Amino acid sequence: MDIILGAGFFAWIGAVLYPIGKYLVPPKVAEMSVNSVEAGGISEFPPSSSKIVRFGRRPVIVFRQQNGDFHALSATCTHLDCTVQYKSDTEQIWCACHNGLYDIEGKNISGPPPKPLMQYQVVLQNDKVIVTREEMT
Amino acid sequence: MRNLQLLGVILFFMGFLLAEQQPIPKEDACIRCHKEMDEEQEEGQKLFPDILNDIHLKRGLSCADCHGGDPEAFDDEDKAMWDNESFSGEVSRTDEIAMCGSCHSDPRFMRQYSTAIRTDQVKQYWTSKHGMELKRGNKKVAICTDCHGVHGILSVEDPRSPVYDMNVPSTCSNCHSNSDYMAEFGIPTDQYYKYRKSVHGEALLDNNDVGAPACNDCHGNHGAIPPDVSHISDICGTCHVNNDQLFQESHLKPIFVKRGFGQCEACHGNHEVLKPNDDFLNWEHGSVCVQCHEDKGGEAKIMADHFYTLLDSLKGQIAIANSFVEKADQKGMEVSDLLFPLEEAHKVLIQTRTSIHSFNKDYVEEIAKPGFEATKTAIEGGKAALAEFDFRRKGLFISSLIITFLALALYLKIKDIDRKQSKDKS
Repeated sequence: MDIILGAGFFAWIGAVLYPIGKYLVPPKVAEMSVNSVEAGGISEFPPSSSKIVRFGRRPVIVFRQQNGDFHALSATCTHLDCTVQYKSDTEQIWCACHNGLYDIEGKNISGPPPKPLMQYQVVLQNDKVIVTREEMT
Repeated sequence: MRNLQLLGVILFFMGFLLAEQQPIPKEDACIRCHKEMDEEQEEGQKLFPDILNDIHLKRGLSCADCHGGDPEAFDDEDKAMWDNESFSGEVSRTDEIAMCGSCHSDPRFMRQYSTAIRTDQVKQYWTSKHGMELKRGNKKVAICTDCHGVHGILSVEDPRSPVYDMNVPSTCSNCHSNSDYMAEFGIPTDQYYKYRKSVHGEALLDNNDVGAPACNDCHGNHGAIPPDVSHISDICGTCHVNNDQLFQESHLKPIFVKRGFGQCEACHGNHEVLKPNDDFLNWEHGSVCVQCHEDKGGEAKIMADHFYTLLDSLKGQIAIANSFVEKADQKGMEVSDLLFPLEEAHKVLIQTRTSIHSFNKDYVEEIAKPGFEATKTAIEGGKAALAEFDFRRKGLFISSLIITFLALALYLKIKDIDRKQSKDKS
């Protein structure tokens, strides 16, 4: 009886400790509610280049102008949710689906988009490009 | 805080009051007399109150600026009109274009109202089908007031204006859907009926998407003219840039040009552009390719079948990924992370459909590739979430069993101790 009781007690300890352990160890899945993401190193962004990065569940377009300035905007067109691109020749954000254009601040300037793109802040820290949630619009 | 709320309410109502108190046109001799005459007019013939909303009157112009006469000659009809040399009365349909153009074609005059205002409307009008017909003496064609209204003309940005984006189709249809009126021109009158069913009509008139094209976006407004067959893709390409660019670079472009096909129109139609579906490629059911490729086999069929299978396969993978993710979501698992690759796959599906305008198998496959990768990620994630759910359920069952077993063992141990103690006492 004592052996059975002892085994049962240890099994109970295991049943209690396992969920606690799983709770303490961070899950493999990426955190959904993020306030900032690293878009890459500064060297990955030569002038007139862009990159789409994942910000939680949203795609964000990070781009560097010819003059070296960085910007980050929501990459989802406000017309029909297509993914936008950075047009380095005109320094505008372009949606290829219906030829919608935004300026570098995300303001809709031509075509069907009904409202601006959400702005994100870009912080350069230790040679890294960090995009933060502090939306400016 | 309360004060701020109160201020907000006051400002809100002041907004209404200010909106109502827009500049009231000066009551000159014309307005005074015609207001009295208006009371005897039948409904539909009355000038008031619509004329008070007229943008011209609101901007300080008077009846005399279009009709001539002396607006200061109060109580003297002859002086105001008949004896005044400038009085023209009713403006004829042929004179109207020049009359409107006397201000609207003068950049210096128009600049005082808006620096961005266009002044080429008249010039464009004479190049339009309407203008050309009017020049030939046909007075049935549309002139300025047929579209903009006569008295009570509103800004094109005013939703009540007949030329506001969402009102343009019905304004054009006033004439173009009237088969009796249009009989002498020998053109179809079903454009509005077809447009209303189209993806563009649905977007503009049902979904209030003012970015969707109305008649004037393809035909022009003041310079309205049917598009030349060889330039249809330029017009569609104004919005559908990628589709146009891919088609222009495709091997089909020169063939379409050579045979005089309407490029985009050949497959998608014109006024009745329906939402494209993948059956456009389904050789057995609904393919638009068979309109020209009447043969039952050949390279065209092979290509269409390939595209159709590719799209079908990607859609199938998206459906599978969706079912795994939804199932895991229903079981209470955290799946928001998987919605990103799912959205990505949907976007790739749209891009793949667009890429078909290249009619290049390798290119289309390359575009579709990230979509399959995204669905793979979502499927694996969904499966992992379901496996985790199973693991947790089994874990709960085992731990419940352990606790029950332990409780039972404890009960038996206590009983055993009690029995031993009773035995020792006795």
